[in-house]
Amino acid sequence: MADHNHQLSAEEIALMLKRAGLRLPPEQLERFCAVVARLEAAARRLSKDLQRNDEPASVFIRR
Amino acid sequence: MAEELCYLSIAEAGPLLKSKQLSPVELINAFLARIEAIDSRIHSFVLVNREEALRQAKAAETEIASGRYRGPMHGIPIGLKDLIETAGIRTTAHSKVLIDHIPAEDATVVTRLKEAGSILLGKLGCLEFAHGSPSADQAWPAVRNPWKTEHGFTGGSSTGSGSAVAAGLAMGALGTDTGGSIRNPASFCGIAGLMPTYGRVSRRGVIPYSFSLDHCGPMAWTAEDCAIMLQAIAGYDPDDPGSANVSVPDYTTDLNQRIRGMRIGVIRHFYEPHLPPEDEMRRAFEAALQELTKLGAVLEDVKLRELEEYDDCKVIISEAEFFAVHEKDLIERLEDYGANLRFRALPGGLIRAVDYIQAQRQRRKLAAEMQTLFAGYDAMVTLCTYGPAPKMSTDEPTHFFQRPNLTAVFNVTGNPAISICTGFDRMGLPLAMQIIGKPFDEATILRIAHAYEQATPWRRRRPSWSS
Repeated sequence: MADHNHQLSAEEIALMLKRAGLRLPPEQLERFCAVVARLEAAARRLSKDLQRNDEPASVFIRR
Repeated sequence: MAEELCYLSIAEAGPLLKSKQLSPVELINAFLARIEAIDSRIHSFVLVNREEALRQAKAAETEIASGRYRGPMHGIPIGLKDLIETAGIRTTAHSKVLIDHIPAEDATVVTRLKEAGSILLGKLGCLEFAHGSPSADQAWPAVRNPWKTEHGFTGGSSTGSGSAVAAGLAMGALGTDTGGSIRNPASFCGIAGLMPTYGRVSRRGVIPYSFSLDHCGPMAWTAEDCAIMLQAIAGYDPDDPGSANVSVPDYTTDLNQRIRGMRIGVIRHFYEPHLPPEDEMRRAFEAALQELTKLGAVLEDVKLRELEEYDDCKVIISEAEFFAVHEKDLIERLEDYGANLRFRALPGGLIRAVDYIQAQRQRRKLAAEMQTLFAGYDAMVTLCTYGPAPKMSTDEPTHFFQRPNLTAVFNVTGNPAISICTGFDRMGLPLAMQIIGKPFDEATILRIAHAYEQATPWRRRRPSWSS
């Protein structure tokens, strides 16, 4: 389980980008980090009331 | 006369074409001339299909003359968001990445519109891959809002679809909607835009943004026209894994039935008190509720989960799926994406697998809860956007992530929703609301929207700049 309280640093985000094979001009990193923080916050809030047997949604509709 | 032809609704033009009082060739020529005269001011088309449109119009004329009228879309001029693939016609998703992409096959929705006899005027601009925002480095200029060309953003991402229909450059258009991309430009451009139930309309041949949340649907001047277009494109498609094998009703049969006694839930808590909309938008919405009450609907406030919960779920799913679709190109040819889309797309590559799965688990819960709540209502209503069209901006790639939008809720739950015009602000910009239905019950929200449009004067007003 990830530590969602850990705020990713700019250096960590730069490393993650590199690992994903992605490039971003250094001058854009600060603004990019703000977007990543927004996604991190969304992910942190998501799973708070999920139960063990809650299934994912699926695009495959059975009717 | 030409302008009058271009401002006919689909429902008005159909009987004229059927009875041969109006020739498809005359109609298409009027639209092509209008596009030539006006579109350089709003840039709604990225490609005009002139020769083929005229050929199709002549064929329609011959068929109708010989008694083979196909139905209410026969001879009707339409445009397609350039995210929808067309055989032999370039389909770019408004991106340099696909600047030379000429599909071999039509998307299923295109095949169905052709079978219904509609005539393709051309391909319409959009936000890059339905996810970018206007930026100076794109291959085409940003689409402008015909209600205020110098000021107005059209919303997104079906920008050209909203703009062309409002300006009378197409009688109807197809858009796509992953978080509001049909309803948002419909709202800003003062037209009707329907996001059908997830699975109701095929996505085969529609360039994906997010498989789980993508919808394709009609955009037109009226809800009635959306009903006519939906009739042509709805239905099971075995080639789309998300397509639902559910029977398609006749969407126009009950359109004129009264809405007296219908129970409609009103959702205000999405925006009150924490995310207050602009005053004129709020007032127009409250006036629309009064109109629905006058029409006999029974309204009561309804409470769903907080808006942020749907938005969190949507953002994690859509950004992860968008990145999955584009990973190879983002790594190998990043510079071919517009600057703003680059900025939006890359964070998706950092979303963890477990967070994506949690979002899909949460989505299932949210959708199930929504359908339980709907047991007590025929429809729900809420705002579509917080205000009218904002000023065009080409330098803000991150606003997308800043405030939860009011439309993505129903992409997450899969319910159908339509945006319709509720008036105009002091600057003459359109205002709007959305009406949401039960899964596969587009007919009810079309009926409510039609009743509202018939009872109010907003469908009699068009952008004055183009006259």
